[in-house]
Amino acid sequence: MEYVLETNGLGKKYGHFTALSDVSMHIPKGAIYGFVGRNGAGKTTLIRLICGLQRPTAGGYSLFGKPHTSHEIRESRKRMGAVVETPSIYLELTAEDNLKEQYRVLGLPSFEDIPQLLQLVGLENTGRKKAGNFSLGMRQRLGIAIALAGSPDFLVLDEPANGLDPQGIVEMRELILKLNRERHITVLISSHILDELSRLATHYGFIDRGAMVQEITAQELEDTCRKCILLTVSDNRAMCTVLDAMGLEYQLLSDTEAEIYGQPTVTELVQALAERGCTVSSIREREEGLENYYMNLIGAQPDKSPASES
Amino acid sequence: MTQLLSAGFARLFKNKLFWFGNILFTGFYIFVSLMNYRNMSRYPDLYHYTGSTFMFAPFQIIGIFASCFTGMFLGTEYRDGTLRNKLVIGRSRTQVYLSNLVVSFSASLFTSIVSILITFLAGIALFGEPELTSAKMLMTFGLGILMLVSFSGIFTLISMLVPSKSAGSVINIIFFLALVIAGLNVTNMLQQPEFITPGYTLTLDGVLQPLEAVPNPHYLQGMKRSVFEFFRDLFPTSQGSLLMAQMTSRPLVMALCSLGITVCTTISGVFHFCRKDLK
Repeated sequence: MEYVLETNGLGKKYGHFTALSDVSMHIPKGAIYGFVGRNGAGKTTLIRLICGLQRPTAGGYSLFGKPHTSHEIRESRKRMGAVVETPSIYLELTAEDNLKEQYRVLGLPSFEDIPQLLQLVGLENTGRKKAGNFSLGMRQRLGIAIALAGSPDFLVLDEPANGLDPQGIVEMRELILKLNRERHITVLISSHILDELSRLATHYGFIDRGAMVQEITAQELEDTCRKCILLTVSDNRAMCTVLDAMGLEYQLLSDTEAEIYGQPTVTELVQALAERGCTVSSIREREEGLENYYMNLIGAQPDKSPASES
Repeated sequence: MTQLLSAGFARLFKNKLFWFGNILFTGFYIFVSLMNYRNMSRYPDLYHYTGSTFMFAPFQIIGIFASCFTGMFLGTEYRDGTLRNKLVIGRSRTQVYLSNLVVSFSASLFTSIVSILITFLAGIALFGEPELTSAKMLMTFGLGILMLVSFSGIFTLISMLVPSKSAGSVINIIFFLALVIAGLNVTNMLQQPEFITPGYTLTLDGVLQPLEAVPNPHYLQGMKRSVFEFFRDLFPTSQGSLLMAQMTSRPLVMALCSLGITVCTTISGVFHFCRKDLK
């Protein structure tokens, strides 16, 4: 398999503080890689390292097969675009002038693609408006346009949905999917908005406290996430007796609720509970999503919100 | 690096502060020329100017423009994060630093040339023929360019290493003022007369007569004088004053000092910038 980015034992220390420790990561070509972690986990630090803004204190990485210590890494970087933390735009210039600046830095001979690029990110009507007067969503889109200026093969987006309204988030998602499907751009997205990531990513990397916890594909995640039945009853002792007798795996959530794994016959279950004088208040199917998977992986409590129930 | 320079100059020519600085400087020196013309007209016995008397006056205060503008222009790259755009796509830090140095120097050079040209033309129009020979003009201008390069070296170093636009600009201005004060002190010390008159006596005829001159204890001699003269030639601010007054007695020393400052600040700046963790 061809990897666009591979990190090998990557580490970064600031004085005595370890921001990253032994992070090994593999982003396949053509993937949308969701990089998941809580605030302060080390996502942005890793992105800064691979973008060349900082040097690792341990380990290394390679971009398009070129090690970061080699001179050839510069050629690899020309195939890369990034929005790191906040959009990097000149506030006193217009959208078009910002793109022209980046085109000049890249050494691109002509500006004729700029109108198309502005249209792609939805900024074709900004005219002479300075970027300093843009909304946050517009600045984010301009930042992405600048990252796309060199027709990169690899796009790094650090929390691109930050500060966007719901429509903006949807538009951002559609843009990323379009870039991946139509232009075959490999995308690394760091985020802690798991619901959005679950609609986008083909691969996931989970990071916590500076260490990579797990890498998994979306398909493997789907296979691993278990379906269960959420049962609400009047007497959980009776419920436990019945479930043990039926040999079902379950997890008590409270005095009245439990998650039952496996595929029990509902009629049989309800009848058995009724015989013991236990009333069933509700019974519904539920699927463990990315959020629950992440919470279980990192060690926090799973989310019991209705939004995660089918 | 050509691409970085192209981008830097394109941004420079769109920069409002740059054009405002040029208009301000040019306007200021037209005003100075007119004021001096008024003085010469009113008091012809006291003031005598030629077309080239104030020609290099802009060199005296171009440092304030260089400090403010360099801090604001290069600091924008930190404030807006646009430094990242250059590094992410593979431009080396050395290239980024040197291109910024060239652009900031070019801004100061452009402003100086415009101000000097306007002042020279105003001088010819108001005061007549220039007194300065072409060779002297060229030499003074050449030394002025080297002085500008050394200013750019200093302020680029500060602006590229301080990751805040406002802090970088403030430090630049403070550093410039420190150089001004240091230069003034050095100049004052060197301008002390060798002999001073301790006082006066009144004769029986009622005539005030000075006492016999005595050696000035503050007059610098020997090695001490040499050291102070070196610092006067070293500080870009005192160089500016010498250029304005067209008193360049040691042009080679001045040139070497300017080049030395430029080389040291640039090497140091590139070294530290290449190792800096950027956000």
